[in-house]
Amino acid sequence: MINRSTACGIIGCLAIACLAALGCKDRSDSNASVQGASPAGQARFITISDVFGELERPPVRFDHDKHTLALEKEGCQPCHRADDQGNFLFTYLNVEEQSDSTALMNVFHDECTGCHTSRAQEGKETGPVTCGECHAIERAYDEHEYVPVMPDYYEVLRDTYHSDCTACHREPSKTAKDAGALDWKSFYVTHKKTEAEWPGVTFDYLTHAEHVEALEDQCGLCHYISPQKLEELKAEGREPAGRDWVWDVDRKTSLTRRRPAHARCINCHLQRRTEADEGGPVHCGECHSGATRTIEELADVARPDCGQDDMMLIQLDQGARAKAVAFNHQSHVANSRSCQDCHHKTLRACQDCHTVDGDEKAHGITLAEAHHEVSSSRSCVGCHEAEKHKAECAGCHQLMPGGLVHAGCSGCHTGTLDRLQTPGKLPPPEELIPEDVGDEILIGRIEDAYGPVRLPHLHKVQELTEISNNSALASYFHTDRMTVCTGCHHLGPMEAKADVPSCATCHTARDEPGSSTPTLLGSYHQRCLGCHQRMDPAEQEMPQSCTGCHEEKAPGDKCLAAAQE
Amino acid sequence: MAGNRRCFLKSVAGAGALTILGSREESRASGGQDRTEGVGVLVDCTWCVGCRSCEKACNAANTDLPRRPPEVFEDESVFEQKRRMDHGAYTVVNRHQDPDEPGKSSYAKIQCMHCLYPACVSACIVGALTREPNGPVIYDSAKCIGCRYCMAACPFQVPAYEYSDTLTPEVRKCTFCFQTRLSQGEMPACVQSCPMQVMTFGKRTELIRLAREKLRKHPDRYVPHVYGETELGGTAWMYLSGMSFEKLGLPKFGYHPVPGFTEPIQHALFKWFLPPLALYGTLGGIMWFLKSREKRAKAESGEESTHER
Repeated sequence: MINRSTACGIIGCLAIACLAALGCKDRSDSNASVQGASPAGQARFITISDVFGELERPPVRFDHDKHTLALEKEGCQPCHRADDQGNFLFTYLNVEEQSDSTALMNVFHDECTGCHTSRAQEGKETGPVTCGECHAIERAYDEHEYVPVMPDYYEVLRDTYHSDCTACHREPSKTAKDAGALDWKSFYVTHKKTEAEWPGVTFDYLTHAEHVEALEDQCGLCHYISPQKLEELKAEGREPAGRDWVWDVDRKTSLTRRRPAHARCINCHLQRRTEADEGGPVHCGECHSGATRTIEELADVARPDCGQDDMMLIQLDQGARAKAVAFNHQSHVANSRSCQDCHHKTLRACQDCHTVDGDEKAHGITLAEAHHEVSSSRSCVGCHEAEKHKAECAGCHQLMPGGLVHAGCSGCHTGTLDRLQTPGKLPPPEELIPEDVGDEILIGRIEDAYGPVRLPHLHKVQELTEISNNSALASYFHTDRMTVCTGCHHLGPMEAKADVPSCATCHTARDEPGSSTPTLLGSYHQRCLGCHQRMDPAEQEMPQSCTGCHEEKAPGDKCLAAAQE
Repeated sequence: MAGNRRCFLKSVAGAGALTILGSREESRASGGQDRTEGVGVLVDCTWCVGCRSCEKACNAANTDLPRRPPEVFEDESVFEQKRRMDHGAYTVVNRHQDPDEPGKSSYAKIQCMHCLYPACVSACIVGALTREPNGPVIYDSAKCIGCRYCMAACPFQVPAYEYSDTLTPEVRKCTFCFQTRLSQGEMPACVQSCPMQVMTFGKRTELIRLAREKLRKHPDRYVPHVYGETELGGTAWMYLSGMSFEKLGLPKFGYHPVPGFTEPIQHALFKWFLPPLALYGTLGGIMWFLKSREKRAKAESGEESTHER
């Protein structure tokens, strides 16, 4: 009897608590974040969803490297069939020929477990044979992963509200009704996380040079050239050379595609290995290492001769409104890691795919976008913006609004090669600085706890002029002879030998609430210290502590006493 | 019997319904006030160089803090460890290494965020913590009973306690220099003292505009988010950063204020004291019913036994 009454009491309490919680349900937090893309891994899940559809069992996690290492002696033979010439077809046995799902399933079941069983009988190292051992539930496998697709205009909208899609669009697990007027469906794709992606193969100038040397300049072993092109060249009476080799793309044999690349690269590596005890890598991770060399590391590597003009005017055949852009191809080749840094896999001219109005071939990205998109590492503007972050440039450029806002069109669209051929240099500072400005400038207007700063003005301008004149990129774009001054005297306009407004004209010593203009104190420190930190992160030459620039005041100093009060 | 069970269920459901009604009403009441019109500070961590001038100025301005000589604040070895505010400091600067990019680091100053919907104020049972209409969340030691609920409630773990003071310990947290400077028309001491002008003081709405302008002008300098604009319903102190805010020790929070979740539960449960009354009333009713039934059974069995006799 007592038990029953206690139970009733507990149920009553719980009921009230539940109902109370229900009242607050509508305000519960819903900030579940969207999962990121799958990290690079070594194994992939076998799902073949276009044949099997929904799987009854968890997908098999297949580790290729484990198999290649275990079958080192046997080679590729147990899993991959060879064609008449003895070249391996890198598909799993005869799975390609199976049209219906049961037959395909049987190939995997018979061959995998068959091999595992026979190896077990032979007493060799082997793999699992029971269902659940292969079809294990893997934590890494998440059937549906929601990956946000950023619309093209995302960069434009990129501000505080648009940084987090789920602020308005809600997470995809909610029903569309929850999302109200904003439909999340158009912003997310369901991504079947079945394959852990390998990093792409980095085929830089060094790898290319190694191949050229090993294959004794037989470009045709890797590159494809169409019969038509060969005819044309024959008519012209010359052998294929330079970019003739990269002009044609054959879908079946192009090494930029997964299957032909695996078939030809690995077969070639294997054959050369048997013949002369060398040859390239055959294990997944050896090519797909994800390691990249820097441009500096590749500085001494000979670049392939593509037969392109060193300097050229990039001009559209039709529909161009802006003037042609003078372009130094040679210097861009020298300052890249591979041709693919700018060209995609195809190595065609930009406008072959990026048409003026945008073409499906280039996912609708127009020619203008391809050259001007700030967020892209391949576009002219995007790459040049990234260059500005280098230590020697960042000092001045850190506070300049980047991209097209600052440069304007005429910086690149000059319509002439003159400037490219005879790059302008910045004049020596003595020609620009007014006579009455001393070599050292004393900054002490808001002096309090520390002494005034002696700014080595002339020396600094000399240093910056030298940096600009030593860089091909800077020399080309620093067209105004006063450019070097604008790093600090950012508002111009300035003339040589003319006085500039004092910093305190705009940057007042008074602190105005909510003002976007820094005070005199703030602007000096931001300009000087910000530049020192960016140009000399290791703090070797440019001081970054208080006493590095300021003199420390003696304890009895009047100013110091006033400041401390 | 069956009738009684139905009665019990009815009463429970009734109590529940009242609770829900209560919570709805509460949510309407607290949602009406606009708190975004106040003062705030925008902290741009990309400019901070870790000079600790703000700590020094804070100590100088807030005379209730233990006095420290100015030289203490020139010691850079403190950056080797992550510090939190304690009874001796309203603000501290930390250096945060980027775990993904070795060599990249950022300084960040922490102090009370002065939430628009402060959890500490909601949790304080004696009203020692209050939010001024123009933003600052301030503490009145005269009212404080030292329960430290505010410390448990604060999502940023800001309030500290004077454990060292056995007789009159107080809760310590940044005052926004409300009484000492703000009410005299001056900016907070840390804002005024910063040589890099990391902090901008102003109307919160103006600061958000300024922050967005910075994000638009220098998209590569900042993580495109103003921390504190929407976090937990908004905070008066807001941050801009070059690395993700989690790495600066500013956790990822939702958009709903903490009290917005806790208060309706609490208030609903105790609305007119009905749910407890209903609960104990029901339990009492059950007890009375059981007792009376027992009595009746006894009486009946007594009757039966007399019958047998």
